[in-house]
Amino acid sequence: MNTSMPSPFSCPSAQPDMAEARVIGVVSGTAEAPRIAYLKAEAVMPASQVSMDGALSVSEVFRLAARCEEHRCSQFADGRCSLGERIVKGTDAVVDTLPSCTIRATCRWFAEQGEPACLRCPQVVTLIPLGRDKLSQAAALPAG
Amino acid sequence: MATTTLKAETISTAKLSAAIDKAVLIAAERHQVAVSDTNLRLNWELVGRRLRDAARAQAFASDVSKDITKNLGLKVQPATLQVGKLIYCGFFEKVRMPIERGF
Repeated sequence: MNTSMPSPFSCPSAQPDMAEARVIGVVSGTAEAPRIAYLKAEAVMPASQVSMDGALSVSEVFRLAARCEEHRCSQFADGRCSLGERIVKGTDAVVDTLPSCTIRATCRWFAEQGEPACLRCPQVVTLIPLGRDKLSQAAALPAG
Repeated sequence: MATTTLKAETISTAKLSAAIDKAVLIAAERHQVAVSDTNLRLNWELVGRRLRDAARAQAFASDVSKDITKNLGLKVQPATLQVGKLIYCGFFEKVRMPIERGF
């Protein structure tokens, strides 16, 4: 396998320092039940254009996508994204139609988990306070 | 029979600013931090020199600032800024700080 080739897939829950990072959504809903409001294609912007004033990080306010880092990511295991798998297995669907999302064509979660990932995706916020809710448990890497 | 469809929200460019304000409030509540109620972009223009000795930088900045005030009558704020290994010291002109820009 040629490991120097960039991944064709996008990470739908990325950090701003990742390659091709861009804002695809804004945290909406409530503090207790945050939901992602997805940007229309015209509003998607590079993560480099966004800065916060110190008290909050970009990932706490926005939902970012970036190029999937594959083996360099702790969530990548057995050639798949284990986070996407745990999100589907460990959380409930929060919408019953597919979100209007700009990265579905390249999204690793959609490619591997299909529509069930999309129906759970709006509840995924990249930085989550420690808690015992289903999302926190799904996001945590398994011990060992 | 009426049915309810749960749909994810979408945001256009026109509504992006309001959505960001709401997102900041939600994040502040979730992470229990205090934030200002407006978005800020602060443009700071440091006038000065680059030094190698961090320990002496602030004293250098203070001396320069005193001289500027004394000789030119400008109100300035001495400042030292370290960016990685680079140390800049000098002053900010008080009339220029800060510039607040909403976005």
